Amino acid sequence: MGAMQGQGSTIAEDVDGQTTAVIRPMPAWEPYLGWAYLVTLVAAVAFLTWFPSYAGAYSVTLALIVLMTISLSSSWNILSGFGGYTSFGHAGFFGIGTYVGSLLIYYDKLSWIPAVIIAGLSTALVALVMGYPALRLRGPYFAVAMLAFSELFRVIVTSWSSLTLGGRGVYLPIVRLERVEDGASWWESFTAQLHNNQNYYAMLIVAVLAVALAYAIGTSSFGLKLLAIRDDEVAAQAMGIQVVRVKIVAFALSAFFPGIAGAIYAQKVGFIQPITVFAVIWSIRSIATAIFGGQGTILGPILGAVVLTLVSERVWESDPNLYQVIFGGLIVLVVLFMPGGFISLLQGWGVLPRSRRL
Amino acid sequence: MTSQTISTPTTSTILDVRNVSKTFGGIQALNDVDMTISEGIVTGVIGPNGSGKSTLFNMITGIESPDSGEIRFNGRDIAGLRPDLVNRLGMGRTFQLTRLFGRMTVLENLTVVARSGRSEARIRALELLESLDLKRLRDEYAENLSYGQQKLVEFLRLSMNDPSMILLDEPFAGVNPVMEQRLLEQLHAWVDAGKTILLTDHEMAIMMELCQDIFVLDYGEVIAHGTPADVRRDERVMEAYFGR
Repeated sequence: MGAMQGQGSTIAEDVDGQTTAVIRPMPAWEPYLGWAYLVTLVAAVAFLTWFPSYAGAYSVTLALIVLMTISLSSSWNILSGFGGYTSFGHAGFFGIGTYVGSLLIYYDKLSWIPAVIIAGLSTALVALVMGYPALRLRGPYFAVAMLAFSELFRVIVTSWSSLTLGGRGVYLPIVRLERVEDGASWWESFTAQLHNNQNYYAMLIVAVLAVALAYAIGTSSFGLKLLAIRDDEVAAQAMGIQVVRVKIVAFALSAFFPGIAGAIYAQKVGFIQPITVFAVIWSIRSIATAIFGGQGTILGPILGAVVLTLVSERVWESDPNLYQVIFGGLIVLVVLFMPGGFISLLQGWGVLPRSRRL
Repeated sequence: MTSQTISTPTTSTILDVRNVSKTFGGIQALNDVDMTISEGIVTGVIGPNGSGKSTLFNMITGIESPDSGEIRFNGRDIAGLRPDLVNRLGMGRTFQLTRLFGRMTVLENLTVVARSGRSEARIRALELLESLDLKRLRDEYAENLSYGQQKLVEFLRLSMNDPSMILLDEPFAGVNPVMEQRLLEQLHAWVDAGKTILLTDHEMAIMMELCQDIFVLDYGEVIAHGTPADVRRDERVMEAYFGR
């Protein structure tokens, strides 16, 4: 700053008689953030791969829920955080994914891995088809339309009982656990463990994909276009940005993850029914975690998913009755006092730079 | 409407608006508007508030579709074409109230609209910012800029893809004299570069000086057309502005 002040003391002061806020320079470490993330990610994946060998079933399930929440909120963030199209549709995609994956397995059409992948692709396809009409709506109209979409599919799945077994729900085959014999080699016990926790590992892969995609979008020109659409769609389009295409692609990418995560979740719990998998709480959970960490940032939804899932588990443990009140109250406080989320709060204080890598 | 205002299209016609009408719920915003805009000059559109100037601009840039009529840009009918496609044909614009991307930095506001590669876009954006002495503000969020600075950045944003025709909707409104001078400099630079400019503003002195050709709109109709001198003498224009 100091060196700059000498030359032609800026437009702000001499023309408008007002100064803009001091612009903090980007810190020198900012360009290396990507590498720091990569190292962190590799370390986290290594730790989480090893984790089930050490931890008990409860901890592994909790970790699976954290990973699922990361996938849900990170993917919600693509269209709704970056693009500003707040959606209550994640419950719908989650439900469709659970049913597509589960029915493919139930009717013996596919084994679980392809079934789960097809589930994700099918929800992305639904978004692709639905995107053109739905994304013409803005603000609360889009949000409500997506809420209606979720409910509509819940009703369809409930009513179409010849295919979906209706409200009775679907029971899935149980994963038969492999026993580790005494004196088994390290590799044998690891593969057995891999098999026994297959849903956990699948969710780990999905979460890593979601995080990698979040970084790719957050640092790309595609992500910048989404931010432009968020800030002023009319201007963005008038400046030549192909907003319809950008929104539909973002919508499809966003819808893939609840679909695939839903199918894996169904495997994990072993029983699904429309009322639970199409429940609006899946949307709320995605939204709340993303808002808590920071919409439109890479780290925000990940941070929100980890913190809120662990906190809510803690609260639930200590008092299941107070849980709803405390958790709800926490979200209200977040929206009131840090509407931009945790990341932008730190940016506002100057602790973190305004980097698109955050 | 009479057909007297239609000049026969010459080779230098870049934009040809023919019989364009638009109603908004019973209100006739534009009524059978004809306009021929010649390449490489500054054409002005004046008229009282609500006379249809902004509607006309939105029609030309694809933000609104006309109910009837044709809009030919370089011979191609663009009436009802999507705004991004119109822009890609070489039509850039600014808005009456600036519409920058508020929570993006000044530099990002420019690079996001670029159609070249990323590093090329960045170089071009920095050059443009340098040209108006705005480089210092490149990492500031657009919403934190003063109004005048926002207008300048909006000028630069439309320059990113080097359009052949530029529409400026009241660029001088609410801008102080020093900033006005800076905007005028940029406008002259465009004229020197051979750009066609369509301009609307209430600053009559500026309009009369800048424009070679002026259309006067009133209640959605073209009531006069000609050189600034012609328009100034026109009775209907006096009437529209000052009443009978």
